[in-house]
Amino acid sequence: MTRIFEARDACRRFRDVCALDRATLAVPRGAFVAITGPSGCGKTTLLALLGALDRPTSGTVLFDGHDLGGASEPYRSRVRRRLGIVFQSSPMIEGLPLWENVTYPLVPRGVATRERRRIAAALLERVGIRGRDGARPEELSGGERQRVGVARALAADPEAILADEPTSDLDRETAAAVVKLLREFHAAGRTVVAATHDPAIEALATETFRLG
Amino acid sequence: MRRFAAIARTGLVAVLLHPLRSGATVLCLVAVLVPYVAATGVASGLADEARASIRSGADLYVSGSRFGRPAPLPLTAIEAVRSVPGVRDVFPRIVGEIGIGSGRWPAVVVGIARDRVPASTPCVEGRLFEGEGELVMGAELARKLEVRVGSRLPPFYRNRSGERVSTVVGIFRSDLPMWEANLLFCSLETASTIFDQEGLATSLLVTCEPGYTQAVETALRRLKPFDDGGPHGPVAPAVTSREDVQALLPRSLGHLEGIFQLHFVLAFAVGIPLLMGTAGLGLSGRRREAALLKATGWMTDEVLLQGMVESLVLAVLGAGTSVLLAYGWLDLLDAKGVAGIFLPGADPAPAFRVPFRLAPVPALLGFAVSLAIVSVGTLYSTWRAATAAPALALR
Repeated sequence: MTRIFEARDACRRFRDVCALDRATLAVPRGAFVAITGPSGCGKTTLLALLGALDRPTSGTVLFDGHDLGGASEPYRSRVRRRLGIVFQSSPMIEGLPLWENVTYPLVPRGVATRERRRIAAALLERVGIRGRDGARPEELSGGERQRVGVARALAADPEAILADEPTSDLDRETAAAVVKLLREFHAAGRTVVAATHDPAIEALATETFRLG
Repeated sequence: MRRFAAIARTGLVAVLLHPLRSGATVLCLVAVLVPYVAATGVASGLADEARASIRSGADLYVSGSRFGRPAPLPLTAIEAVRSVPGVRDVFPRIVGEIGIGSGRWPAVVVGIARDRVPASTPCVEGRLFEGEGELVMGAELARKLEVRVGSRLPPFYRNRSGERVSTVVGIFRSDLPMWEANLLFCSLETASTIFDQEGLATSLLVTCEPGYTQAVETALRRLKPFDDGGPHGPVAPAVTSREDVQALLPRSLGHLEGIFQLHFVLAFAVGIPLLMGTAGLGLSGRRREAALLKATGWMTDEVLLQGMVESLVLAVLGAGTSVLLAYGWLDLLDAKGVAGIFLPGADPAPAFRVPFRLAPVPALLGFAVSLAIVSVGTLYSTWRAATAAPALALR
């Protein structure tokens, strides 16, 4: 099976702080990988390196066999376009309606506004936020924001999802809904890499990678 | 194309999404551009009026020259000029400056025959001058001096044979509104008395038969110096054609405009960092948004394109608002404040209609400058945000 993500001795330092120390990991295409470990061990940093959101200080990070660390910015952007990323903090463009936030990844693909609204409505319904397409992020609770983040990650029909603590701070019901979405995504033959403390996600994983 | 339109739309949305940032940028642009557009509008309007004035004037102007400097002409020169073939009409004029009223307001006295007063200056009150000591004043000057028809002015000049009380017999408005600010008409004799220069004129206005202007000009230049037997000897003729006057116009107006532009450039130099600051207002928010876009697959150039559209919209808003406000300032507020720069002697709030013309070039220049400044401010901060690692900006 081909490897979609691979890290070899990947390190990331921020001045004197070592955020990730020599992580080595291989993620086969179609796998569900849970990255676990104590807080501060570098789970978020490893996901950022795998998602081409950051470059390793040393070591190698590969996507589809291509080195991301030395890749040009346009190439890295093209890689990100093939991925869906769920952030722990659920960042959104404040003031912008949910349907716009969810479908912003589709804008550079030239998807028409009407089509974007349709896709957003369907995705928001899938994550259990029905009929609130026009709401602003600031009107949402933490759990709702997390679900909108998942909807945004799914919007561009990605090859893989990188999820950073996707169920943290969620109530049991909402967490179950998010886990269900990830399971459905994986069941469709796609790759999921999730940094998590959640046993429910660990139980779904085909492989678990422990950091720290 | 669809991709471009979709990204452009998000640029427009960004303007609306950040009303404080957009509003502050547009306000700064307006503060810098409105005086510029208004002042260039007044300069254009004045130039138009001056050209119109020159067109309706004489074909040739003959004045005197001593030591290569302007000197008054003896009235006996009229006959010598009239005898030149091709000359249809000659009449003398005295134009001089004098301080008038308690504030010694600068006024331009035009001594001229009654039937030669330009038709573009009709009396709105009273009548034209007839006898000596009678004055017809521009409406704005009359307002400044607080005089009306029938008012008597105490002597405001020194004359060897004694000064006299003058009477305002008429107040005029003009098609050339700036004349209202400082002009007063009187007879040639009255003007001679005011300046204590009997038998002299400052210039002769010559009208030529059609097609003879060039020949008359050449002949006038060849005339012998005019000699009326006065103590200072003869005065050489100096001839100025309409074209010469037209050529002088851009120089004089350009000088005033140049002074203004210099001030404007200085103001602009101060304004640019301010504008860049406001354009980059909310830099942390901008960085975060750019990082989020990059994280969801946007390319750097797509983020920059969004910023460019945002800049374009802000520049159009800034320039458009500036032109509208400048128009309002010039039309509804009669160029209060800016008129004094171009009309020496005019009040900061003149009562007459200040001429103006909003030419497309300054407006377009204003737009280009707006775009350049906002683009620099917006794109620089966007570029910095877009080239940073998204993970760092989203931490």
